[in-house]
Amino acid sequence: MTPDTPRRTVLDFIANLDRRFVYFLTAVVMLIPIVSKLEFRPPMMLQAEKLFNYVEDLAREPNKRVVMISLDWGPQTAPELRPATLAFLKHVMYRRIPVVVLTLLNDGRGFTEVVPPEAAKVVEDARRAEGVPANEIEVLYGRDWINLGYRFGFSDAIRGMAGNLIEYVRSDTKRKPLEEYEIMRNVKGADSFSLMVEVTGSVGIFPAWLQWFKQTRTMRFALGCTSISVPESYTYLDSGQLVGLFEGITGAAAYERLLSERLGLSPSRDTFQAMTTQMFGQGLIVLLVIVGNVAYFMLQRRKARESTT
Amino acid sequence: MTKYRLIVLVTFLGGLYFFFRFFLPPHYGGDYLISKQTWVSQVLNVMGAVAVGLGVINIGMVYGRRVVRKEKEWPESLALLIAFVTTLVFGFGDMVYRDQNTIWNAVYEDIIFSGIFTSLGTAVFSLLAFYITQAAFRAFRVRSTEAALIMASALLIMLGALPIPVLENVIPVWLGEFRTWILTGVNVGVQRAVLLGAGTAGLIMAVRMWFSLDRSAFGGRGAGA
Amino acid sequence: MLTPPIISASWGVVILSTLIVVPSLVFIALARRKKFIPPVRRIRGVDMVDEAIGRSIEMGRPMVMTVGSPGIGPLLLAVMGIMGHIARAAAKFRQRFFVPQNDVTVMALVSEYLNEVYRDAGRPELFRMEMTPYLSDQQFSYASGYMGLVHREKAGACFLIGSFAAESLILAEAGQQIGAMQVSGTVDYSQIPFLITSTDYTLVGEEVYAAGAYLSDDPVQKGSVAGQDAAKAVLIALFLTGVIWATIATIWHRDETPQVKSYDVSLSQVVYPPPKDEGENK
Repeated sequence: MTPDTPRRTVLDFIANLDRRFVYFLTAVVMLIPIVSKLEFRPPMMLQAEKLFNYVEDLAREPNKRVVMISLDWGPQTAPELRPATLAFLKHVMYRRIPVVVLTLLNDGRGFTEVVPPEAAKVVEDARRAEGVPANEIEVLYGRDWINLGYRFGFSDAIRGMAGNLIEYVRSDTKRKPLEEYEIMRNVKGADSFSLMVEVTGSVGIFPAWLQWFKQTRTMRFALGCTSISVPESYTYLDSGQLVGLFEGITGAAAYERLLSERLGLSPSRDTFQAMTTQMFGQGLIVLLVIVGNVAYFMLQRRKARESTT
Repeated sequence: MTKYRLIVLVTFLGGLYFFFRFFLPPHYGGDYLISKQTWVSQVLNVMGAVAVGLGVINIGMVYGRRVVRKEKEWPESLALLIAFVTTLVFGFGDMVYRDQNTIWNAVYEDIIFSGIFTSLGTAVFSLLAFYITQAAFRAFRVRSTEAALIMASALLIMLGALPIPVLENVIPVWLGEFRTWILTGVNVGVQRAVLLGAGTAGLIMAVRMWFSLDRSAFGGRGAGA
Repeated sequence: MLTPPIISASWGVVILSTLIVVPSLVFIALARRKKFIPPVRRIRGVDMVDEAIGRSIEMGRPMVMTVGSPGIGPLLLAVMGIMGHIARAAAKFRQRFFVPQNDVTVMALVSEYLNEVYRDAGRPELFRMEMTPYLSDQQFSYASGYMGLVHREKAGACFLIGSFAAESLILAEAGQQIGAMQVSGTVDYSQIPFLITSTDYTLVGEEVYAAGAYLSDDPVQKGSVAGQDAAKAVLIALFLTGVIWATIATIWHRDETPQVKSYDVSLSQVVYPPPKDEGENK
């Protein structure tokens, strides 16, 4: 270091943190809850609670109409959207509300086959623990849920299903005609559904559902989205087009908390863990922004002092 | 009829269906067009599926050429082609032997999809956490009034959603309400303004495309000035 | 407020659509006949695009552009106006220009378009298929490929203009890491904050369409931009009328109903008919 080289102080270091150091800090901070298995109690999210209450209202209907859930997410967004999907499926299956599962993304095809059985198992275990009669425990495919698999075409598929779902889709993933299933007995088009839940991290898909699938005023929508898309989703909440919202992993964790506290279903610990990890990351961002600005201001003052002397 | 005129005619007729489907009253033919919606959707799906082959051809030509001519980075191109062909072969095998627990299903679902594709996709998505932290640290400096507003609102919204027990007595209750107000009041208003502007522009652009008024790109003559 | 189903247009929608679309068609017709070509204001984004192009040419480093995933539609058309401008500069100064793709139909269109641009610029030999490589239709696979391309080629300027999802920050950081000058633009509201923090300038919403019109110098596009302004004037007039009407209705009925929702106001029912009861739509 030559005599002319200005000395790099701690303040300079903090104000101009190398990006690699920031990455390292992020990794370390987010590893803390993962390694220590630390879990925070999810906050009560108003929109998740609204959706929960709406499903409870649907469960009280004498003739339970079918609900639909579209798993429009893939492996990349699975960590954030799978918990929301699982929580919702557990709820409707527990309340014996028939649910139609499908996806508009090719990546989601595998998840439509894996996630509903996982939810069904949790519900069956809960019923067994409650002492429900043996013939009422099982969540049956074809009666309680059905998998329509991957539907190609985005808005074309939505329009086709809205008109006449059985004519457009024809068969499920087992290649059996839809007419042969009990769950599809009273289903024609979009007006046969009481609720349509879209779970997606992609842009543009939910507006297409909203535009083309809603047929009657009693048919409502709900949305499960990644944290990035939450501000965008508030437009639909404000206009009353959404009955509830899963606000990323935090919304899913809040829903799991409701399932646990009000229905006694065992919560998904992975969801709580993921939420806690996200919170640690957010806390780090807040801390870094505050520290960075303090260092920035102090540097500015030092530069002003040095320029006057 | 020239190729261009044929494209214009087909474009116009295709758009005409959707126009009449929406604007014709039900008892003047609108109901009939709506009843054909399912068929139209299926036709469009079939046409879209043809495009899948385009990507395959491009991959083969671009990366295959690099391998054959041993151009720069040809080993990486070879790896891409091997991965592509392997996934294609086992994907077809999985489709043929659906639900039969054969080697095709095991390799495709357990190794290729769950093991490699899902893991890699999640890993790349997780980069966002690091990039967001770095971007926030770099950008949220109070250099100007606008920057201060961005920083303050971002900080307050994040603080309003943190359920960290240690901070429960520190973070005031009104912060959660402030967060909700920013998201439902300010954010929604601005978003609607952006959406309306972009939506109007998109609508008018769509009308231009329908009437093939553009002279470039979509089958028009000439490519700009 | 429950939103009613929209199966077919009401008379209000027909009138509103006419008021929005007809002025645009009039402006476009006048512009095509060269009777009146509306002047489009040069927005700052256009200056930044030119600055990025100039910087890249001075440094002798290639330019990279990504349109995200707009699909074949109006947004792609607008973005291609900007793309054509960049491509003409690249052809003129013999600078390499890459536009990696994640949609095969868009790739086919963009390839043919760039081929025409280079031909019109008198440099057909400079266009190669490798300029528009198909990376992947998967969001993050595409982002990985883009990052690799930008780092390997050491891009001097990156243009992220189109429709993006969560990968926008990854795309923007790739250019940030190598010190490229970056200009972005999107209509996706959720991605605007990420692009603003990671790029040098961001075109927001319809600025993308306006920039496309300005840079393409196409009279039809300029007429279209003028039409958009006319359409917005109609909408603003409608908003103001609705707000005033709803406010008066709220004050008028304040003793009768504690909460008067705007939907109950008769003016909105002209455009947005009230929902039918369940069963009438079957």
